[in-house]
Formats: sequence, C-alpha cells, structure tokens
Amino acid sequence: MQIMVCLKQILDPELPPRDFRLEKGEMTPAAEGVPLVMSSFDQNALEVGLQLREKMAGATVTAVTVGPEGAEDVLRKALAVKADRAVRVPLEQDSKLSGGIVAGLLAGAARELGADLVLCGRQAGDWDGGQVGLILAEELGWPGANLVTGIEPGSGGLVLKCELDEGYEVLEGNAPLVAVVTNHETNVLRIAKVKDTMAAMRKKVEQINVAPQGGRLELASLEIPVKEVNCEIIPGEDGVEKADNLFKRLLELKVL
Amino acid sequence: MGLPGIIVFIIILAGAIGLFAMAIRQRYLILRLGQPENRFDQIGERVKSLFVYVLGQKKVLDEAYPGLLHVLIFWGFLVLALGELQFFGEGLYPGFVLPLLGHYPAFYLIQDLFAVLVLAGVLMAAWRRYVVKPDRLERNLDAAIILSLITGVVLTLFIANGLRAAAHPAASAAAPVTAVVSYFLGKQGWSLATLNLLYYIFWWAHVLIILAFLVFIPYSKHMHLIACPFNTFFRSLNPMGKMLQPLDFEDEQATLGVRKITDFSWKHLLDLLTCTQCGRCQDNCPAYLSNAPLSSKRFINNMKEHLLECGKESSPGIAHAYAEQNESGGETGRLVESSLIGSAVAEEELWSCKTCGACQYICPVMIEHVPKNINLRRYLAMEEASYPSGVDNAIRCLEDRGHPYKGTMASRSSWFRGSWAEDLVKENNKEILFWVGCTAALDDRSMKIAQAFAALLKRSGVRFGILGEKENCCGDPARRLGNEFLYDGLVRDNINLFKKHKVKTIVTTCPHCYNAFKNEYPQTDSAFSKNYEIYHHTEYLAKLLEEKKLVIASAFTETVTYHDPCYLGRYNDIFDIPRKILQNISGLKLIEMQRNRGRSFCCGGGGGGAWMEEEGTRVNHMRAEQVFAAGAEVLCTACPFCMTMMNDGIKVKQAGQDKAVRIYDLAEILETVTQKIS
Repeated sequence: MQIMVCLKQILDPELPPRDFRLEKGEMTPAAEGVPLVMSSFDQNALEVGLQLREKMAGATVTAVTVGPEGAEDVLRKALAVKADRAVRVPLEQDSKLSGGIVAGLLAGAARELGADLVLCGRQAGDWDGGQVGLILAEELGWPGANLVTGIEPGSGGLVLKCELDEGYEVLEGNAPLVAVVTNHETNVLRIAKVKDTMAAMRKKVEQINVAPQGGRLELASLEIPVKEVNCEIIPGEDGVEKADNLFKRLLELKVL
Repeated sequence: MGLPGIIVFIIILAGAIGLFAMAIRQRYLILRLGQPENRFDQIGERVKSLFVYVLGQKKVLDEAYPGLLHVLIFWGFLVLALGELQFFGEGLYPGFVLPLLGHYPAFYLIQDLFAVLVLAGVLMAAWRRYVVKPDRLERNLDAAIILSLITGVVLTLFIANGLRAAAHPAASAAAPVTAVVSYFLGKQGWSLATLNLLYYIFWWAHVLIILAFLVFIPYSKHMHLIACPFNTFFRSLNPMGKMLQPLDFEDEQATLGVRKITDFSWKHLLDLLTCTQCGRCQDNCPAYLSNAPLSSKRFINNMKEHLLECGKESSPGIAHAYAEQNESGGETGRLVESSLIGSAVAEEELWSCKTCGACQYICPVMIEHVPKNINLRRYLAMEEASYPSGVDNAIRCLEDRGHPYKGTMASRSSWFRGSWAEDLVKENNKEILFWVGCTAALDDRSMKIAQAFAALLKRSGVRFGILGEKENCCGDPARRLGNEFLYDGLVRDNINLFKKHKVKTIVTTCPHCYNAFKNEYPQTDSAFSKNYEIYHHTEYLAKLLEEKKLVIASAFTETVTYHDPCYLGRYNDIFDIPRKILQNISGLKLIEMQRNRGRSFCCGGGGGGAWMEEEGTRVNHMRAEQVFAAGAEVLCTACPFCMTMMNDGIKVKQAGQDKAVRIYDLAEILETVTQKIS
C-alpha cells in the first residue's frame, strides 16, 4: 500500500501573538527570526502513517509538501523518522494559497504517485483553514474520513478510529481513501534517532510538478486586530482596603 | 624455626603472592576491555595528587569521624607493613634484624603505637557500622571479614610480640603494649619451651591472617587499597564542567554513547574497581535523598558487579578473547556484549540524576559518576530516541525553536519590551554581549534577573548588547539530556553567531550557559577560550564593584542565605565571589545552610530535571525546607534555574512557617542597594 502523508511547513504557532507581524505592504506574515515548523496535526498524520506501515508488509510512506525549497525541511524531518520517500510540489507564495488550490496540487501529486491512502492533518496550525483534506478527497473522487486518530489493517480493508464529541466511532473501508487526522495520545510523532536524522540529510527529495488550478476565493486583505486593554491594579494591603479603593475608583469613573 | 618451617612459609608465601598476582592481573585485563583515553598528561600534577589525596587523605578527612578512623587505619597499616618484614624475619631466623630500622628501640615503639592506632580505627569503624548503622553503610560479609582480619592482624601481633618478649625479656624495650601483654603472659609461669611454642603458633596465625588479607583484597571492596592510588593518579584534572568528552559524528559506525560496559573508557572501568562502598556519594545525592530511583553508590556498584561478572566469563584471557570476537564481528550473547541499560542500570535511575556533581565532588577515591550517567543517557537519547515524559517536548522544542520551553507565552524580547533597552540588539561596537539565556528570557520570574542585571550594567555605564531573537539555547540542556548531536549543532550555530557579531566578551546570568561557554565550547572550537572572555554575572558584578563603577549606597537589613548553584560552585569553583559581594552590603547578615558550598544541595533543576516529573519527594521542596531550617529571611541565588525551582519550592513550603522567605538573584539585591556613579 502506498501511503501519502501531506505535510505543511508553517510559522511557529507558538509565536506569542504580540510578536506576530506582517511583511510591510504585503499580505504575508513576517518570517524573520520566527522558526518554521511542521504543522502539528500533520505530525499526527505522519505518525498514523508510520504506525500503519509497521503493521502492513510492503506498505510505504511518502511525505509530500507543497511549497518553496525551504519547505523541504519538513520533508527531511519526515525522512528522519523513516518515511520512505519525500516529494515536494514546487510553488512559491505559499501563504496566499486557498485550501482549494492546495488540495488540487496534492491531488495531482497523489495521482502521479499512485497513492492508495492519503493522510492529512485536520487543519494547518497557521491559518486553521481545515479544508484541504476533504476537498482533496473530492478532487480525487475518493471517500474521506474525518477526525481520524488511528488506522489499523482489518480483515476486509482498513479500520479507522475517529474521534467524536464524546467517545469515538470505528469506520471500515477500502483504499483508496483520504483520512483527515486529529491529535490523540496514540499519534504523537516519534522523535528521530540521531543516525536517522544524519541519514535523512543525505537523502534525495523528489519533485513533482503540478499546475495550480485557479481558486475561486482569493485573499483580499490581511490585518492584525488592534486590541486596547486598559488594566489598572487597585492598590491595597488587604481585601478590605482593596475593596474600598475599588469602590472609590468606580465612583470616580462614574461606573457606579 | 627449622628448615621445614621456612620451606612451608616460603610455599605459603609464594602461593599467596601468586593468588594475589593472578587476581590483580585479571583486574588489569578487565581494564583493557575499556576504550582508550589519555590520562597521562601533566605527570607532575598527577604525582602531586598522590601526596595530597592518598598520603595526605585530603578528601577522606572531609568528614571528621570516618575520616579520622580511616587515617588511623591507613597510616597505621603503612607503618605496620614495614614492621611486618622485621616480624616475619624474627620468626624465621631468631635474632633477625631488619637492616637500618630493626636496630632502633624506637622501631618497636612506633610499631606498637601504630598497631594501637589501627586497633582504635577498627573499633571506631565497627562501632559506626554495627552500632550507629548509618544508612550508607552495608553490614555485609565483605565488611565483617575485613574488620575481623584487621583486628586479627593487630591482636596476633601483640600476642606474638608479647610471648617473644616474655621468652626473651631483653628484646622488649620501649614497646608499652607489648610490655603489658608480656607482663601478663610472663605471670602464667609457663616454661620457655611453652612460651616459644605459643609464640610460633601466634606468629603463624599472624602470618596466615596477613596473607589471607592479601589474597582477599582483590576480591573485596578493599580492592581500593590497590586501585585508589592509580585512580587518584589518573583522576580528571579538569574542572567538573569539562569532564564530558565530545563525540565524533563523522564515524557513522560508532555507537553513540555507552550501551555495553566495554563502551566506557578504561578509566571509567578503573573507577568501578576502585569504589569502596563508603556511601559518601549517596549521602549527598539529591536523587537518593528524595527517594528517587537512584543511589549514586548503587549505580557504581551494580556496574562494578556487572564488570566483574564479565571478567569471570572471559577469564583468564579476557582481552585476547575480546579481540578475537571483535575480529569475527559477531554478537555472541555474552555478558560483555549485553546492554547495561535495563540490566545493571535502570532507565529511571539515569533520568533521576540532576547532574549536580555532589557525588563526585565528595568521592574520596576520585570516581567520576556524572559522565558515566551522561554517556548512558547519550545512548538512550541518540540511538533509541528514548526520553522520559516531559523531556521529549523540551527536546522537540529545542530542535524547532532553539529553546526548551514549549508553550511559553514569551519571546526573547519580552523582558525588555518597551523599555530603554530597545536598541540593545541594533547597535554594534559593544563592550560586552549580555547572553540572557533561555530561562531568564522566557520564564516570568527569571526575566526580573535579566532586567536587574541589565539595569546594573546601564548604571555602571557599560555599553552592552544582546542578541534578542537571534539568541539560541547554549546547548547545555541537550548535552545533559544525552542529545550530543543537538548540542553540537547549537554550539556551532552560536559560535558562528559570535563571530558574525564580532563578540569579544560574553557575560551571562546563567551558570549553565557559563559552564558551556567556559568549559565546553573550547572542546568544539580550540580557539574559543582565546577569542572570548567569559564571565558569570557574579564575577562581572564583582569586577564592576572593584572598579568602583558600581557603589553600594544603601543597606539591605535582612538575614540572607546563599544557595550555591551546582554549575557555578561545584562545576566551576565559584563559591567565594557571590558571598563576598553579599558580605560587603551593609546591614546584610549572611548565614549558611547546613549543606553549603561544595556540599550544597541541588535545586532539582539541573540535568534536565526542570522538565521532568519527579518520583518521590521533590528536590526543590527539600532544599526549601533547608532554607527555612537555616532561619533566613531572604534566599539569594545566582542561577535562573535555581530561581524557578526554589521559587516553587519556597511557595509550597511556606505554609506553616512563622516568617516568609523571599527569593532574589544576587543581581536583584545589588540593583536595590547600588547607585549611579556620575
């Protein structure tokens, strides 16, 4: 079975909100000094793929990303945890892409690779769009399972465990299909062994060129919301004094 | 003694020496199983160590009672050993006199006196082991045999000498104990023949006990009699912060870290053979004392047992057999090939260590505990990618973001945002680089250390810069957690960063960064020490005070106790500088906790402890209790990790205490008492 895992390189979502900046005059976030990381749900998808491969003889995992050359870092990470192949679909201006365009590019790659199972994270950690996986299923004309936490080989095909609000459901199906993965304690991405990391640096990243199809929705403007917070600490030694001061202050402000 | 007696003596002596030599040879072959390591530099310094630590017993005397009893037995035995030659000779040839020494009456006096000292030492040791019963000592057969043999040696010496003196009164000059024994034996009215017969019986008893002792040495904890002088000679002459050897990542076949016993260097194996199970390490080990699954003593001794078993397995031609096996390259399922982790050492033991170094600071026979632990961690981290929970996130975060604080809401510019220091990152041509470090930059409480130190620098008129968002982790957490590869990458990135910014002097508030720059970066870049001047902020503040760029202007009327950060004190010998600064502040009363300086108790944050869940009692809670026990109003420290850990510890242990304890970094205290010099 050919398992294709879609990975996205994003600006570190742990960047404190107050440090978030936009490039001057452009609708892209400023990336200088901000680490670029693999989107966290994509890490879960990769782990699900690796675990499934361990249970299926002959299965391979191919990591695929859409983006500029720098995005190959996430593919190296995938190779370091022993993905069999790494493929980049070259494309600049990644951040302006709508989910639909990306899904089209990934569908092209899936066809080219002859993938049987495509795994995606449920949403990217930067824009939280949450669209690519299911649009990709639509593009390919395959069934799509959502909020998958793990996949096992079953007697008749694949058994997918999916998260519900309370509890979970189990789906059975046959490849080809698209599984949109969410995080769970069982699918935290493993840490790479050092020698595998070193070997990954020397492995080849393949390229598949797919022509982007025009999206129907385009980003028109991008602004950082301005929040004004006026915080005043009311002085006082103890609760009584503080309450007294608070009362006086509220009177001054004509709130009371 | 007639010819038959002499022949029997010679046969027994030769047999005992033969058995002893065989056992020593076997131990030597065991050492040859280890990896090469050069410990033959600075011979003069090494010889000096023998005088200071072996003959001078410097570390042994760190503890009064056990130190004294050991000195009595050690020096007593050295002197008695000389006397043994005379004693053996007298028995074999009546009238034998040891050349040079045996003529002097004082010889017998000294022998007598030192035998008494040995006996006193043995009694003190027995009292301690069997009556006081300290936790660190075991009451095993080994110890019982040793104490009995030593007692036997001394008692048979007194009785045999007494009998001889009773038979030949002229020979018993100036030996008081022998004289007393001789007096009582002489009163028995025995004939000369009976006295002589009894003399020979006790002479033989003495000889046999001595020889039994000789043969027993290599098989017991008393192997340290032989091994300790060697282990002291070959001790690490580096500061504790420089004891870890870097790894070669070019050699892709090499095992990263230590998996099996023979991955250790020969010196680490000699360490194992030298351990005498005194338990001083365990008595000072924060992990053991907090009921974590590690005792530094057990850690060493379990590996020692494993090593000796490996020796037995391959005996007698161990090194030869091992070389053959290496050539064939096959796994043979032999013990020597088996993993230490999971057999002699448990994973939890390895991760319980705080790398505080108290064990090896205190060890009287120069065992290097911490590098062994880190080498085993290296295998787990790099070959197995196996970390305890919590640490995995810190490692991932270090890889992705260059700091270990996953989920922090701060960035490296949070601590100086909006203040006067905005331009710190922009200007070039600065006198010093203030290396803030991850903890002081990203932890809310520790940010105040960075702010206080920056304010002091500004007050002193020092032109300083910071790297802001470009700063990385120094690599210390990665190295202590066993990920030398990650450490290596961070070090190389940082060295490039220093070069790019034309840095000359680096000052940091974090002892872990300080230790890395001072001791470990030069392992990667041999010109590092020459190119960069490294200061811990306590050193730099002392310099500013001395140059009168900072002047203490107001009093700090508090009772203060100083907590020694492990990586500043034990790792770099900086104990006095912070204390001197504190003592010069008027109104400040400096008191010491019971565990201080070299014996200071860790905060629990080192060695990756800051990111691990602790089993047993929390180390920072224990240290907080020690702060309250000392009666301090203020706890002063000089490390952001200690600040975080102790801040938590003090908060928890505050409940039920009469008075509150506040905690400050040394820079914070100085910030309140100094003034601007115009």
